[in-house]
Amino acid sequence: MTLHDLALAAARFSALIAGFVILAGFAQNSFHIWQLLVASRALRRQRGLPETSLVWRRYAEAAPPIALLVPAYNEELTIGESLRSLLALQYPSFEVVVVNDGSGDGTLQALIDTFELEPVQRSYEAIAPCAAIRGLYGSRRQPRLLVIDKENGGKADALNAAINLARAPIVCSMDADSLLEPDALLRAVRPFVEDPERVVAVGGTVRVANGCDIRFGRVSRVGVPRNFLALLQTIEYLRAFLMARLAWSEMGSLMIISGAFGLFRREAVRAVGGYTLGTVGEDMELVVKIHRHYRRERMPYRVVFVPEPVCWTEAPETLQILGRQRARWHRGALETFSKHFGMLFNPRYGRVGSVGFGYILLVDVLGPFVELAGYVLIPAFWLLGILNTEFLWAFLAVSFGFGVVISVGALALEETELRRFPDVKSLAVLMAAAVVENFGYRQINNVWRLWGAWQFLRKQESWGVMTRRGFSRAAA
Amino acid sequence: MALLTLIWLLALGMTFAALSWMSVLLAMRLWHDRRAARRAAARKSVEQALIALLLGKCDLQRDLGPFAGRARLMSECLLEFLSLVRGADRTLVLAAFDSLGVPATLRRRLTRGSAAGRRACIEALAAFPSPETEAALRQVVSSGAPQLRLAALKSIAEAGGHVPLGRVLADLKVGALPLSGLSGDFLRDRVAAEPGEAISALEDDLLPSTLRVLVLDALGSAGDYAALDILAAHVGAPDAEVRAAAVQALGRLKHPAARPHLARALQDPDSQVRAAAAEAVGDAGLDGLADDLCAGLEDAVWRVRFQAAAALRKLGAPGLQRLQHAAREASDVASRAASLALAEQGLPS
Repeated sequence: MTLHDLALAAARFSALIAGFVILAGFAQNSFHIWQLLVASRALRRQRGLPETSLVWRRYAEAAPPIALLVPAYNEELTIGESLRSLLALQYPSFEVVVVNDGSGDGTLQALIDTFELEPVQRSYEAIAPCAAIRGLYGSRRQPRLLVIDKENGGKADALNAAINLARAPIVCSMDADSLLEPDALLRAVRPFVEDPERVVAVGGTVRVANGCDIRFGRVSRVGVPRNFLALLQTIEYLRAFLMARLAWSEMGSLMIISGAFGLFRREAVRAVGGYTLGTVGEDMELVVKIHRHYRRERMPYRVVFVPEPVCWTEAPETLQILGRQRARWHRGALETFSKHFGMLFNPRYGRVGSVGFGYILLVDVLGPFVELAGYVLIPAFWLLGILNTEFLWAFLAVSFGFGVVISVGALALEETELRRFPDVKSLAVLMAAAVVENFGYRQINNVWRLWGAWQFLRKQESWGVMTRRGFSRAAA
Repeated sequence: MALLTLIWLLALGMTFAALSWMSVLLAMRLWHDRRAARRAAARKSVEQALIALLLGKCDLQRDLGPFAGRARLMSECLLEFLSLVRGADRTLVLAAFDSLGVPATLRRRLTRGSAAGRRACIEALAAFPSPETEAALRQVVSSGAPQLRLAALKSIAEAGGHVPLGRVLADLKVGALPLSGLSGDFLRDRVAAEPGEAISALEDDLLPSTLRVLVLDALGSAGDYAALDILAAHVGAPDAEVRAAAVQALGRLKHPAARPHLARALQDPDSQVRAAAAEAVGDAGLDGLADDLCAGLEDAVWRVRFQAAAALRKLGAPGLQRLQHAAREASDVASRAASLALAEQGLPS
């Protein structure tokens, strides 16, 4: 083979790679634009959200009891305030089941002191596996509160313990530091009231609380984060929740309900044996298991998403912590994908197997490696002089153009249908962020996803340290 | 045109579109902020005027007149206010709205504008019963979306109009009304108003199981003893969910004649029915079935054991004695169910 033949083969190979990357990118961006349109139509259908008093008037009578499941690990300083806020939620019938998951600090004592807890007993059926329960506590002052003290087992294990003890037909999983809107349950339960026969799970919109004023465990004023990373994540959350999840829900293929806030029919959780222990993506895995069960049994069901903001969470403010979180999320997605690989393109699982799992295959499984190939090959081709730089710049410009349109679109959904950001200035800042995030932030995210893929391949199981800075609470 | 130029045009076009979109959003926000401020101010004015009305310090035309033509604003304020006032105050508020011609404004709004606004107007119109209101609401029933139809039927019933149960069931059957928790609530009200019609509906073999369950549940809540026979007949239905609903309804009816049927249900092959039967015995206070409940403490299914223990607790002294006996003497499974039921009440085993 001559040198000329080699150069020709390399040129053909580079053209092939370039063609694949361009096609994959175009398909993915077109899919996102389509999701934007689907989400927009869904939001328009629900235009003119009623005020809390009207929602109460319409739904309170028919609203089923809910058990809020609150796993707590080393939350000594904040658990009292978090629970007071939860116990004051506007909902006709609910209980709060807190799980002290073998905390090493004084979480249990703080709970005992704050709510004057006493040991109680409760009959329950172990429908999901969990570590040994050391004791149950109740309060005469707060009959809605039940505290479970158990050996440490992780979040999934703690949620399973709470599911076992809960008696309400609907369970709501959340994080101990999730901040709920006062009418969150009333708004999120609507799909269960409107379609009680089929709805088995409901995901709620989670928003970034950084930059908001927090008072007594509630967001009292919505604001824009002052931290740059948190600001970029605000746009990212809008895109993930208002655009992607709403569109997936409309397609009947919603594969994930955030662990920060999700409602499930207890019977559905029971049917799949609760959360799977020893996973890092237990929230996604539970939803996939539910899809799998109902599809296999050919039972009618729906997994729904409500776009109204119901829950606020603290976003990481440093690259190191954010990187760990994103790598863990990606590892969770890969774990779920590999565990339920048999669903991929299996006609038995309908759209969930084809579109939902197909998307995970292309974007989560292959995506990072395609990106990696791009990062390695494009400079190599350029060095070899077989890359047409004029086309490279043009395609990069199209790629950024798509990215900006999608981010601005997600912000437009928020602005036209929900309008929770307080003023024009906040909106302008967010718009700038919607443009800026396409230049660097998205690319760093891909590096973290690669890191997550690497951890998955090495079968790393730890969560890593997720340090939270804590909400800066306004003086009471 | 060269491919390269096309690609650049696409990129520039998208960037231009995004920038234009952003500019429009910012401009809209400026406009909306002013509009929202005006809306909030109007709402506050209406609320203050209503409070002044109750204090006898309101000049209707001056304070409320300017807002009388704003259907959604007036309906939402009215609904909120009516949830707070009763009796003479309520009559005063309604008379004030009536004198300003608000009901006519609300009726006109039923066929146009956003669904959320129409729904608020439908709900508010329930407070203004009249032939015109009923006609307007019936118009919505015949042509509106399922959610709006349901709201309109509710308003007609609240305003004293006749809503035949047969019509509601027929609409639910064909999907003209949504089969939801809200329609279940409405059905309960209708059945309470016309239990005889509900009994006739249950005699129809073609009634789907889902609706049958809803009607059985509603009949139990209605408390009409005439339903006893039809409920008892459903304890032997082939569908387990129907049997469970019939058993629960018998429990809520609290009639001693339900005893043999509940005793039969306690032996049902389906655990859902056995659990429902145990609960029903407790609800009906049938202490003659206390020994049957004790047998339920040995059931293989946790929910049945739990309901049997809870029912024994509800029976009072005869049940508690049996629970204490079971806690001491029965098998491990029954003893644990009994002990926990007692412990939950803070009682010794």
